[in-house]
Amino acid sequence: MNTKLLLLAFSVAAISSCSTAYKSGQTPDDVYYSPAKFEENKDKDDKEEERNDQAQQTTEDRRIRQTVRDRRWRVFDNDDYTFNNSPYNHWNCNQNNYGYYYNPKYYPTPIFTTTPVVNTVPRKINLNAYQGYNTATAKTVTTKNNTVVTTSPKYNNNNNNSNASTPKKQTFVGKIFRAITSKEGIPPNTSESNSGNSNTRSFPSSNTKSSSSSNGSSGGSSSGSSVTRPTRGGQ
Amino acid sequence: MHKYLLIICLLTSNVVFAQIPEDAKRYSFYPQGGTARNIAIGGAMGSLGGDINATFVNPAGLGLFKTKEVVLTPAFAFNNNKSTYRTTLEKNKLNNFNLGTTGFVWAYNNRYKKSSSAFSLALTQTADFNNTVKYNGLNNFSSMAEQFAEEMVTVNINDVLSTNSPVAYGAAPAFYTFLIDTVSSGGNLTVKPATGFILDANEALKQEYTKTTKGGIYELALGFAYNTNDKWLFGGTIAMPIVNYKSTTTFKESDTSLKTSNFFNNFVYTDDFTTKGIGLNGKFGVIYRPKEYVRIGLAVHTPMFLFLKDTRETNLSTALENPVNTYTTSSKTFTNNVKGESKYIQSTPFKAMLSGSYVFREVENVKRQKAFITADVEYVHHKGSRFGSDNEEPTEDEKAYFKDLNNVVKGYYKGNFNFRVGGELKFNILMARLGFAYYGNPYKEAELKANRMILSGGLGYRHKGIFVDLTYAHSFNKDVDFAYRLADKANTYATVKNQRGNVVATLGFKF
Repeated sequence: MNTKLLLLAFSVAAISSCSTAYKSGQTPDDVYYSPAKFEENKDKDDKEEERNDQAQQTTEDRRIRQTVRDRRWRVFDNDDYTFNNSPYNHWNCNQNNYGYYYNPKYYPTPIFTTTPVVNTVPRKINLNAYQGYNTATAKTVTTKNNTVVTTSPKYNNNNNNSNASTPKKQTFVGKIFRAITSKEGIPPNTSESNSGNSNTRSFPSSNTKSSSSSNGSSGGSSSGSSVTRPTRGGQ
Repeated sequence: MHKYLLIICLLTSNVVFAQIPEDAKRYSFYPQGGTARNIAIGGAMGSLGGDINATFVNPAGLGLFKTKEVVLTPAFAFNNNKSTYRTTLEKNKLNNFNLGTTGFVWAYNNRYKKSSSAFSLALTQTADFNNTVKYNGLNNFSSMAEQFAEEMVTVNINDVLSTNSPVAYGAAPAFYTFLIDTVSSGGNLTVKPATGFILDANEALKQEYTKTTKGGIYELALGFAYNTNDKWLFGGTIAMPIVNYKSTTTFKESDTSLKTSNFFNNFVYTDDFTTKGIGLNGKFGVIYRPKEYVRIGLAVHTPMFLFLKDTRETNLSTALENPVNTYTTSSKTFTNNVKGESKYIQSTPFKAMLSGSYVFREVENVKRQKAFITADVEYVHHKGSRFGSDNEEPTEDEKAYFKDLNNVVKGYYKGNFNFRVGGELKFNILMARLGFAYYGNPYKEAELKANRMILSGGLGYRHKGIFVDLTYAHSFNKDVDFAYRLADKANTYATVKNQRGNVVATLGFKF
């Protein structure tokens, strides 16, 4: 926040220090119409530019002449003359960084440096969760007219009727019946999917090469090494 | 080299590329920013021109410049959110600085050809991500832990707990902390969440969600326009979008029953996520003036081709009962002790707009300039976002995921129309402005409702080569937010209503 304020203050100060050609007279508004402004002193400007070019050439000529006369003026500004092979800087010896370096003074063999393998798995989501959009997974039926309709509700945003996509309007009789039959507080969930032990997800057989118990730990067969779970127990 | 080839492929074919579908909307469903003057008139700049913000809307509008100017636009936003989740309402606030269009315009007039040209160099914040969304509610139907269970059964069980796990951010921490666990059922190996014991007993979980987002999309642009005899104006902009997005999501589920032996007490899941990157896009337009006071504009924005890098770390703490214990871990345990990274390419939807303006008194004498009205109709092809891996050698799984994800984006979003209208009254050196903008629903599903409506007004002062504009814009934003997604159950979402006040000031200088 402070950086933004400082930047803002600096910018306002910079703009305020500008000088304008419209201090007197009307300030044009380009949204409506503004008169074209032509450069009246073009010839004069061109002459000045030429004079600057000549001055620059003279400076360059003078430098070359001094270089010829005195070797101290010869500045190595060409890449061909650069020399980066410093005995104290083993990283920049005009070579690529291959993940190792070699210090001839102290070590007879290269010293390898390791960087941890970065996990590059994309941020994934189960795309089947976008029900009804992924045609491969939508639960559908074919009607008499051969039109395919999605049968499962996509959304549930209330605790009254867990299997409804949107709350249904209740009739007066329905309200009375519901008041008699329902309990206070959060009503019981009537969805089939929540009854019994239904909140489990099954592994396909291809993903269970070895069995695992609830208290056991899994070994790892991916490119990384395995991580052991803590032992389940009380504090 | 392969990046350039990929850009060419994206431009010339219908190659499909993604991360998660919600990432697509982040880079396409946002209101138009700009200078204070432009925001005050609803952001309608497709045909009006003469404002530096034309660089980002219809660069042909730069052709109306005959002078030079430099502008600076700071802004301050006030966010007020009301979220409803499973019938529970929650409110929260967040304020922040942002940046409107800042830069300079340089015009050159040719007296012999009766033409002029102008170019601009400008920076603006096209999207502002700064916000905090909070909601909570009781849920007796589903749990976020079920999402982790679903994720776990998609991979080999032996790969889950590994230092380079394919499910490092959700299923692996959940399995490690016993939030989900394996259970043998009828000879099959299944995964059951600890929260399932609560749902099985027909009891409710208390769910609490907080997501804080920061950053924005900034665009650095170079615009050019050519004006032929004030009749036809042509323009083009090459822009470099810079993406900086950071989100911290905290989700907590707790047992609401007073029972102490139903295996679950609570879990807290934190997800720290950043996206950074740069890209490229182009904007091209034309303005035709059939009469002195009428302007008709047409502009097309190419998709933004973004080269992005995500970094991510999650933390999970699970408190269990029977026996009582708390287990905590970080996703770094499963990503070689460093944050996970993912490089990918995203192309955003293209935009096209048709605009018209009526300007009263297009004359040189400022005292006789009276007013203008202007309007834009914009089409945004939201379902056109595409993603692809930027890894050197993407795996077959990665390629398959991106292909499926792009298909979901195509089915989940739709193209929509946005409308902007505004006007100004001018009294010599003072100006008064009003504007309105409406951004339509990007979701294809009618039940998911999202839109943005912006009312704006402002004042302007222009004298002695200096201009100062001050605007207040108030947005009414509506959207949906899913804390988690399940494939085999109906999903639950929060309705988020956001009101955002934006105070924008532009200081400009004519020279």
